[in-house]
Amino acid sequence: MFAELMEMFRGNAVEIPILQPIIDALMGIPLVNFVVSFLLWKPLFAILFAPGLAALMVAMLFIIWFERKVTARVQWRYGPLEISRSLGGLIQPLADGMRYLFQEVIVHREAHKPLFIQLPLLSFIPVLLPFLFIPAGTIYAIRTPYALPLIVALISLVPMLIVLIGWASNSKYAYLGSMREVFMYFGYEVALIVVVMAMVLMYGSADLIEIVEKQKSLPGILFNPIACIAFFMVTAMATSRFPFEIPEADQEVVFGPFIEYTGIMFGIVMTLGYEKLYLLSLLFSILFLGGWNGPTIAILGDLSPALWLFLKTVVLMMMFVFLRTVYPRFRLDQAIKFGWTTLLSLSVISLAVAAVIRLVGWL
Amino acid sequence: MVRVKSPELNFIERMKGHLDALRVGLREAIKPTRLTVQYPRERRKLPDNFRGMLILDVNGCISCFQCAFICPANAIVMKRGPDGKLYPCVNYAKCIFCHFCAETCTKGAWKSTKVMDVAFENEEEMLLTTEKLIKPPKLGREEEKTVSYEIKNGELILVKSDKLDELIPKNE
Amino acid sequence: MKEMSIDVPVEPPAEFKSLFIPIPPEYVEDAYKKDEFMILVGPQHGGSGHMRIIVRLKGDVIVDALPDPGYVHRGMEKLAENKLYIQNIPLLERPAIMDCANYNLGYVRAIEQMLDIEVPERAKYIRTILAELCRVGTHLYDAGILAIFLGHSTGFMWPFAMRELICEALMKVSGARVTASYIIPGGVRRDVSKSVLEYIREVTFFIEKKAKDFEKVFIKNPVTIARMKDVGVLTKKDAIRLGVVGPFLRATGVEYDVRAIEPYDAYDQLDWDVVTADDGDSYSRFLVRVEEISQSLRIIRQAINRLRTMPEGKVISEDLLGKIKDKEKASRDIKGNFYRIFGRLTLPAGEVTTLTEASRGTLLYTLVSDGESTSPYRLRIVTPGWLYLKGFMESLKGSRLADLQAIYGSFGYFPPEADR
Repeated sequence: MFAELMEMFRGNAVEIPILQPIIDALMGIPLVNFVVSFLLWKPLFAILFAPGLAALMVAMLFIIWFERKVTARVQWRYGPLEISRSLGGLIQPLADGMRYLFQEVIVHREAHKPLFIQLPLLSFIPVLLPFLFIPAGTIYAIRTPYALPLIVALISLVPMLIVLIGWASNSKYAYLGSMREVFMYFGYEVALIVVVMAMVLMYGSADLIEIVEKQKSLPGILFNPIACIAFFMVTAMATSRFPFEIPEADQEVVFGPFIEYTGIMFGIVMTLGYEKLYLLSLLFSILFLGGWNGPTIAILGDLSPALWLFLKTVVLMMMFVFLRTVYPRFRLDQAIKFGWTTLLSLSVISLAVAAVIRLVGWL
Repeated sequence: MVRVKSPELNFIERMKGHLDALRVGLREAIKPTRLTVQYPRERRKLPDNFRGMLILDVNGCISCFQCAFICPANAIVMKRGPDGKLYPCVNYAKCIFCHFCAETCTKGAWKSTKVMDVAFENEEEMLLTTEKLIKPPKLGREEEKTVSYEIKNGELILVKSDKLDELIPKNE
Repeated sequence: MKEMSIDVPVEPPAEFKSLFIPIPPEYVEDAYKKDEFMILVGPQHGGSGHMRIIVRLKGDVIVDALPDPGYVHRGMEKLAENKLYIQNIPLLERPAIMDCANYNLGYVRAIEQMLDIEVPERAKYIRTILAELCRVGTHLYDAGILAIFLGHSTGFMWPFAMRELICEALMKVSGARVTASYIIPGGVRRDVSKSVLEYIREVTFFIEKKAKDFEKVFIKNPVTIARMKDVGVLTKKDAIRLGVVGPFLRATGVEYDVRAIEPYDAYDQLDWDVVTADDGDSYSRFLVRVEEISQSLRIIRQAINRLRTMPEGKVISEDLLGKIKDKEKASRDIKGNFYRIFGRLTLPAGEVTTLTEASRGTLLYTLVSDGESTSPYRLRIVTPGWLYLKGFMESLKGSRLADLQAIYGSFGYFPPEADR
């Protein structure tokens, strides 16, 4: 049984020439070689390392540090600098996470205790499941022609869990925050679906690998810039980036649905927004920026397209995070009005442009 | 009389407003104007008339009680010294650093230092007796540079020099 | 849209009974029966100062707002009765900490009126410079608070950084960054040197330059304008009826500024304008204060020019010096003569009232003296925050919950000032 499994794993393994000597050495040891080949099996590698959990963690550590540093630069101050002074405070998010581990998790009397504690952990499920369908070069878990609609459907589960988190807290301000989250979701969801439909129409298939293949000559942003702008604004609305940071407004509803969380639970719910941002930025770079197209670095082997995808995603996240320095936040009805007039019209126009491109036959 | 009007924005002006805001943000991100003084590695240069902690010149004090009388926070208490006369003691839990006492003394016995960041270990220590007031406070300085703000043509320049500030004035 | 009511028996939450909240329980039950709910924007809230606002919400719209101030009440009027006249000066500049010179001026002018003494020219101009510096500082502070209430953290850091230089200027003049305690009856404590005046002049140029960047990032930002325009409108009639003061009254169209109507110090000899607006919404209130910053900078520069032409020296009134021998030296610097002049000061019996234009509105001091004692018989302070609180609450009705922060920030309500 072991041998059959090993055959299956070795047949679909990730090739990294730079690490080949270490892998060969570890293959000699009996039990370790099973574990190593299991880890290098493509589906598991996609979920755990790239573009899955490890890449997500690295991206989040970097982007939290970058957000604090760039806002500090614009605001005439330094930002976090004490922890690792020579690196410019780079491991500050790690230090913050460790601090959260030492703080007490308080569950207040009125909360519905099972939902209150379990939901933030359960909310990792709709965030991590799309990684099964997003390929990074040749590293993918499941290749299906229905990848894109599946990813969009899974992303739309996250607001539902946030509303449930607010409900479980059983507090007035959490209720207000959940209401705002529901209204915001109505604002952007239709525009998101129409834009994704436009891109599927333009490329002719919903399979992400084929989409990147078609962008070998020119990235998708040059074909349909209107869809790019619309998707940018939808991402800003979906992940509570300024100017749409409405459900978690710190000054109005005191951090919205997450008001009662302390300690490590607070650390977990704070990273939910960033994880959604990572997912949507991955989608953005695959749909519009040419995915993992880029010059191949030979020694990294299969990791080279994954590295290109990761770099493009991180640069995009940096752009989203920069918006924090320049914008205040909208009011709820203004944001919904924006979503249903401007965004929806932009999405419909992009649908028309995509239809025209398909008819003319450029793609 | 000046009348201000709030603007009615049409589409073009709104786009221009967005682009202006983004441009200012980008310019500050690339070339920041920082005015942080990284205390305790740097210390700000204080002017000579700064109101910090006080040192008593015991030879000048004539025990007239005027400083204790004028103190708005009632922080000065007079206690008997070894030569039988009464000398002031300052309770730094109450002192508001207004220096009314320094202005009141006709003999000029109170001298101001530039020490403003003081730490005490417990509350009883905060009532500084006259023996402690005569000597300058014990300083532990960590800074390497002194920063002063200078403005030329509307631009702020942080002048950092290695010469440390004289916190306690020399006796003349 | 026709509303249908579902008669579900709703019990008001327990927190309205257990905490000491000054509303009658009938009001709470009435609200809950009408399908509205009440929320406490309380002292521990990211978007309120040290006060509680009890808001009655119907969905997202505010139906009624009740203030619950008094968290920072320190009893200053009673404390002032137990201190000497001169000891009240550091006490009375503590309500609005960044507006110290205007609060000092009101009290000191009351004493000067009772004693009937004349302030030298140079001291008048120095006091005007300090008052206008504090006014700029307060307007910048309130602009920062407004920005952070809207969520704009850059708009919060930049005014505070600009205000840092004003604190530095105050430090060079008096020795302390805030609460300078520099203005005394009869003038100021000591003279200001030429280099300090040059520094203050450079600070005005710096603030004007950075204010242009601030304008692009925050004031003319389309999101800010969308957030604040036509929000919390207070009409002219309502503002006059409810007794609103200061720049918030001027933003509804009434041209009332104490510095123009009953001028004090050097305001009638300098060239400046009263700023008004017509709309009465939050954005006009904010724009009026921004324009007032430019007017204040103009006043400061003119005063510095005048001070350069005056001979240096006399800053303390000769009427107070009385029996002191060396009048020349004593009128330059109070050092050494403080107790002799002010320690046993008694005022003649009577009552005097002064009006001052503090940064947020009209500040009223009433001083009653019984002719014999060295402390006031009764000191009454009415701060602008307390005067416009009712107008602030009235302007909240009908707007959405998110507008509460925008309106709060545009009024610049400062609880320590209102509660004294």
